[in-house]
Amino acid sequence: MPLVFEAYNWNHGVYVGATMSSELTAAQYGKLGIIRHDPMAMMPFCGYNMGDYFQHWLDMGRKINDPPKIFHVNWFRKDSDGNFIWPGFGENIRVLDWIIRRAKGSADAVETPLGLVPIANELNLEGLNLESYALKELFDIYPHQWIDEIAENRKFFNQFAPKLPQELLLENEAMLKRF
Amino acid sequence: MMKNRELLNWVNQMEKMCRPDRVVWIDGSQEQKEKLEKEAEAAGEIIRLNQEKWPGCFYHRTAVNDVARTEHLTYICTRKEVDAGSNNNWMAPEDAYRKASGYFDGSMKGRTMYVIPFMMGPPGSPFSKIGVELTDSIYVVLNMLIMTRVNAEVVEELNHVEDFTRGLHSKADLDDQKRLILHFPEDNTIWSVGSGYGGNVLLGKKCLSLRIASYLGRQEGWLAEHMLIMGIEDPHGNIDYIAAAFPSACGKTNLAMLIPPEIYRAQGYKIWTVGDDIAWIRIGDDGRLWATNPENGFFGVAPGTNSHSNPNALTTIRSNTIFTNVLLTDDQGVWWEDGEGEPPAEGTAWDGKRWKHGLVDDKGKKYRELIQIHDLLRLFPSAPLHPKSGITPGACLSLPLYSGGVVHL
Repeated sequence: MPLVFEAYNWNHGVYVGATMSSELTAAQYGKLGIIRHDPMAMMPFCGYNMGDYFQHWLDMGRKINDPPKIFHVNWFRKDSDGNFIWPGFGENIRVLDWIIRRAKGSADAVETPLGLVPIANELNLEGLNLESYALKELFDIYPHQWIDEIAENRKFFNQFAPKLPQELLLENEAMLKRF
Repeated sequence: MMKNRELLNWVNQMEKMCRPDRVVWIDGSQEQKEKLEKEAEAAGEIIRLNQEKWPGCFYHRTAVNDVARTEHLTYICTRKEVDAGSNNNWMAPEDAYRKASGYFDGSMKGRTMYVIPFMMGPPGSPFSKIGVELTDSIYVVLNMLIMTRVNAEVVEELNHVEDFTRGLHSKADLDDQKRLILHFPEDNTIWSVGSGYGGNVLLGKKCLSLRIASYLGRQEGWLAEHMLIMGIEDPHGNIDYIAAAFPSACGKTNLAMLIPPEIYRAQGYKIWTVGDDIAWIRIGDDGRLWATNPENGFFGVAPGTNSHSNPNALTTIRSNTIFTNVLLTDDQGVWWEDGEGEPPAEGTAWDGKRWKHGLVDDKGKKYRELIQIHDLLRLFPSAPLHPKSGITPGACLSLPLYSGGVVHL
């Protein structure tokens, strides 16, 4: 997952949220270190069928004038030595800054199969000690891993059939085509 | 004086089932809160920390078998199984009521049943929902007084509402074989029995504000989301709001309370924390999305909270905070893994056992790693809370944001 990307539109944003995953944490009763799907971070908290929940999100998007842009961030990318590349914490405002400028139409982005990412120099890195190769690593996309991930997400969605909205399967297919 | 007949009847029925020695109505007053603190202290349920170093702070331990949300014992009890979905455990409502009634039956004998009328969301806002939690735990009462709005206005409003969320909680005998967290969205009801731990028992939080609220949101056309809300103020004084969903332990609270680096501060950037866990999102009259934080306090994980990761939180928790399951130091202070400064030489751990720096348990683990897993602390809202968090209709939302905690891609 790159440091940040912007979904192409509301439905794509709902897909991005619906395919979130995480490691199990201490606040949950279970083993640490297991990756699990956690759509919109709501898997343990959605009080009804997740398929209906996805549909509700899609429906909401149709009712909003000019739906807000949806973004995905990942502060946790590691280098080959296992160190976090992005400094995180207070420095995360640099990513939020780009996001807000995108929302206002004053920052440029470039298309990738995942979504829109900042073009060079759009992310304010002034005063950060970040090597250019590290910046590149923060935005690297590995197609072979993503093709597996797309198939895996499709499998994950299947458990919510027949309530799963068709739109999410279309987003899944569209993403595969972009690779 | 409560006049809502529906509420009085329900409290009466629950009292007959749980059979407490007495029933006490919580009014949100400072006098009552101080009285309860003293009672809980006398009963050994909480420990008053060193008041010079930690003014207004208390320490609590949960039972050793009761240190996490128990998702495998958490159920959505809708009439039709398909409405709960494969993302939830499901039990038929009549089976769930029958099974839990067996555990609640006489569970409050020798104890007090507290009636907590509370509001999630700001008063007078179309966002807000009203609930009542019955509990036999003073710890729950003291937490609810921080995390939700409990006051005379809420009591008064209860006289005029037909529907409210009915929450029933009993520690019972804290038996993990008789523990259930049951949600009845079609009845606007939550029953929690056999636990004394955070998310299982503070029924206004995950139970009402996410599980029940997400169900109501679908019926009523809004969203209850596991999201922080923050405002980013630029040098011209414009504030843009972001709501963001992060999986647990991925830095949601830290992001919500972010302090910008010098280069941004010097330009005049400021961060406003509206909420760190839950966002209720509606479409406003202007057709845009508006969000509010239904909670009135912060509840966060202690390990890793230090002056680098979250200086605002660290400042906030120096007073009026309830600490749960962290290390209790011998001078009545607290410490946690990756906290501030050097670890103390010794203290008393979350399980009540003596702890020494470098101690190894019988499984060969460093003992302090065990503490790390179970620590929770509660934060009182005096951090840079945005004034809009308390008024209607909330913050106008620019952008939902998602993050995975994934490192494998």
